[in-house]
Amino acid sequence: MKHPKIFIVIFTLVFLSCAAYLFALPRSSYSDKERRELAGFPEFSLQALADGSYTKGISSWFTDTVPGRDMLLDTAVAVKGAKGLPSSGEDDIHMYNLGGMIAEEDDEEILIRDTDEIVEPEPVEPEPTVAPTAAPTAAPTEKDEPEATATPTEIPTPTGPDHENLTVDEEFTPDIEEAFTRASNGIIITGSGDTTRAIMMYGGSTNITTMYAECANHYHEVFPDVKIYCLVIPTAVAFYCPESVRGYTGSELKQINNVIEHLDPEVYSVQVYTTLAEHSDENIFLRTDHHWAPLGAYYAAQEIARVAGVPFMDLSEYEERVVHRYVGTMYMYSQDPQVLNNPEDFVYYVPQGVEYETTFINYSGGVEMPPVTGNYFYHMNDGNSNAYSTFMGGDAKITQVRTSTKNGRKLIIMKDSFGNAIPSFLFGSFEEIHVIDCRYFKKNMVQYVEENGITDILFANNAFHASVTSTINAYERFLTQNAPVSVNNAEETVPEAEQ
Amino acid sequence: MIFADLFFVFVFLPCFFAFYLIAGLLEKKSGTTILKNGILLLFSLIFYAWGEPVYILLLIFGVLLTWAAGRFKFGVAGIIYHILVMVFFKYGNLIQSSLLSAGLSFTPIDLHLPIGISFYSFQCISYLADVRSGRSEARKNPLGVLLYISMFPQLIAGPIVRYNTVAGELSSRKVSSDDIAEGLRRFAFGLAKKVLLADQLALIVSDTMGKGGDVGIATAWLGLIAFSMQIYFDFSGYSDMAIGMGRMMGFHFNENFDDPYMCSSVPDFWRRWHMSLGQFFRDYVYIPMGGNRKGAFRFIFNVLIVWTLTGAWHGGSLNYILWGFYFALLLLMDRLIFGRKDKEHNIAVRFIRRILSLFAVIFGWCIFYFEDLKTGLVYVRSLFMPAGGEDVVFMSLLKQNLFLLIAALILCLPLKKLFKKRYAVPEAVFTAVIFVLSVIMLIGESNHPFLYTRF
Repeated sequence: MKHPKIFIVIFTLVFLSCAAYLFALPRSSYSDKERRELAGFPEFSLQALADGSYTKGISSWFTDTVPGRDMLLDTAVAVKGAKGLPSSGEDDIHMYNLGGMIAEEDDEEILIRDTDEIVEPEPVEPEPTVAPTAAPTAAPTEKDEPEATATPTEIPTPTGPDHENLTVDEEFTPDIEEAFTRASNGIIITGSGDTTRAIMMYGGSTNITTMYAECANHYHEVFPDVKIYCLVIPTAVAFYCPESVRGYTGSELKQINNVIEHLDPEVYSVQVYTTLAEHSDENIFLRTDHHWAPLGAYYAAQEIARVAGVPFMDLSEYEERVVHRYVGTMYMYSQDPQVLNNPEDFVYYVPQGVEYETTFINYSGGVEMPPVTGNYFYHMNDGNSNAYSTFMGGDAKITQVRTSTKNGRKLIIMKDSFGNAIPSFLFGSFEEIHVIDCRYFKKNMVQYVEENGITDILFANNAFHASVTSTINAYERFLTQNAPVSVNNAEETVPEAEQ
Repeated sequence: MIFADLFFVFVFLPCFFAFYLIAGLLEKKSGTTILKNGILLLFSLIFYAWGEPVYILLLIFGVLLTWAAGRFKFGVAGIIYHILVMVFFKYGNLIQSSLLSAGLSFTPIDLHLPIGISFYSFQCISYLADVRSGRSEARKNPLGVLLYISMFPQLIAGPIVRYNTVAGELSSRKVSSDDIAEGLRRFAFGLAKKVLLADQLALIVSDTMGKGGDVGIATAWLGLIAFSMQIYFDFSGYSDMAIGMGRMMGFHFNENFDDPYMCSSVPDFWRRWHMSLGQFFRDYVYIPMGGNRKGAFRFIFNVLIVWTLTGAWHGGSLNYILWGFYFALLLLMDRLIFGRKDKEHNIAVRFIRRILSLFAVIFGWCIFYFEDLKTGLVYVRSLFMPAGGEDVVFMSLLKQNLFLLIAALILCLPLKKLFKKRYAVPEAVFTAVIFVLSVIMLIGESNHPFLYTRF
């Protein structure tokens, strides 16, 4: 090489600039894109030193907490995107971690049991004073609804003495959607521009969905006087999977039908597949996130209300709110630049003309916190990738909503994050709604149902969650965990977790 | 510690070179290397202990034994020790599970392979063999042997630096600005090969070969070709980084790769791929066994032994032995069909030999990849049995990775012959750009260890 010194000077300057960037700027501690706390500096112990985890921890800490991590991550994704052709249309599919072909026929139509029509209950007449249709133009009745002023990279934290515990769940980390990894058969990205859609392929099995139905049946045995509903929510793959890659996804319809087939005739089956299919040209599923859109939940809630025989507030009675430039979880899962470059509107609906008060029982590190009142909706700024946590701020809590609908109906929704979008469409339908996540609930279900006078229990899980045993095991565990020591002695019925 | 890691690149390496530079300045007048070697040894031990805090004792013990065996002339015992240690760690788990399945009852120990043991054990053996045969003198100072073995650039994944190559430079070496420039360039190119090529190709591999099941025929070949390129860029990238760092300190390690996919025949492939391993087996096993000079039968036997051992060196799984054996058969067939001299053939024969050899080498990676033979067989079926229907995965992967694949294919060509005249500024800018891109790609990636650090 001619003039090697010039080479050395140029390269060294670039190297030192990189080093200066890495060392001079403050290190990152939270990744908004990946929704997780970044690695901390490891704690020293001889044991950790000997097994290598200490030194490994230092290397991971250094890489994980790079200054401006999210921005650099986007750059890395853009660099990766340059390795191939950009997507050119509907048939141009990007695939990530796609599993093998799944040999099964898609069921053609949703199974309708004979019993579904027979057991439909009589509608309960709502008291006239709280008719949900009243005052549709009234201002929001929820008190002190905070407008989060956080920038997109910050977690909105409502301020004020009553809201101390009201943060978006810190535990909303990628592993929270473990079911989406375990029952997944990879990711595909279809479409282009604003029709880009990231879809999680489904890999659920019949054995497990049978257990899911049996679990609902078991609840019916334990609570014979409570109406049990079972709703398995199809995901985007059911409606938007291109024909050419159909072979790589299991059929959610088949699994949903399997659940219905195994339900006790006295357990109400809520079927939303056909309804959602009819509305699939509307924005009922998010394009950049693995969740459905609130509008999808609206149609599902309508069906729930119909089966439960309760009144239902029309969409016109809600105030529409929009979080613009939303890019959801599928970007993190796929790291496909096309997803990042085609954000969408996250549209949700705040009920008007019905009063409601929300109480949260939070879990922090698995420990139950005392109940606090707060706001049901967490309003996010444009571009916030946590927009789906608008509802209740996430999953890791029990949410109790007391509404002005006085019809004596008290509903528990047993759900995963898909279920978060449902409750606010039922404020005009039930007097109380208790939202319980399949991953966070330390109380005893039998006692909880008794103490709160629950009249209805809705199982509302998406097809992925209905296809993993952890969901079912958790629901079964709820029935027995922290059971009162003696049912005859009322003073001893306080569950351990509350003592 | 691995090379493709921000902590290594921006903390360990600058710290090391800062101290090394100071030592160099202090020793400038005297021309000695004691201080520089001391710094290099200390950092090498830290480097190894970072990943193997316990097994570093095994390394140090093995090296002290090697030193003593060389010094006090019990070289054969030393060589046997290293072979036994390698067999113990590489095949311990396999042997235990075979014994268990044969009905013996004992509590198995879960052995984890100490990083780099295959490489440093071979270097110990090469030292002892060279000392024993009189090609080299035994070092008096055990620290000298420790430095030769543990030198961090080549410690964990080669190249297998022969003692003869660096013996002189251990005691006296000079660094020119050409060495530094070339070292920096090699380091940055190696990093880019690993991060920008190998790790990206790995994603194609995991979507194809990694699935282990039936895939379409085009997808199967795409995956296999992607893996062939991944393993080349991964391993040669590591070697580039090692050679580059050595060069910056004034060491001239032997090259480990010479455009292997441009091979004209199967034997030629092995003169171009992981050259330091091939040379090791040639010099320490094949030639001492008589090579091809003791008749046809002995030649066949020698080839089978050497290549089965080459396969076995890679690890405690049958597929590696099978892979080695496969190459032994290929080499014998090549000799049978084409004879010894390539130049005697006309251009058509040479072309056919080249194509067949490349095909055989690429197919060999299929044996190499699948530790589970059953899964491997399913994949082999996918390579040759067309499945019905449109191969959507192939089209998707091809489009998604088109430029990556083209770039990788081009970089398998003998490009360095094209750039005879070299200019500092454009080369520095290009090197800096790929370096910055590599650094960005290292962020947010879970660490992809180099494939060959497994062996």
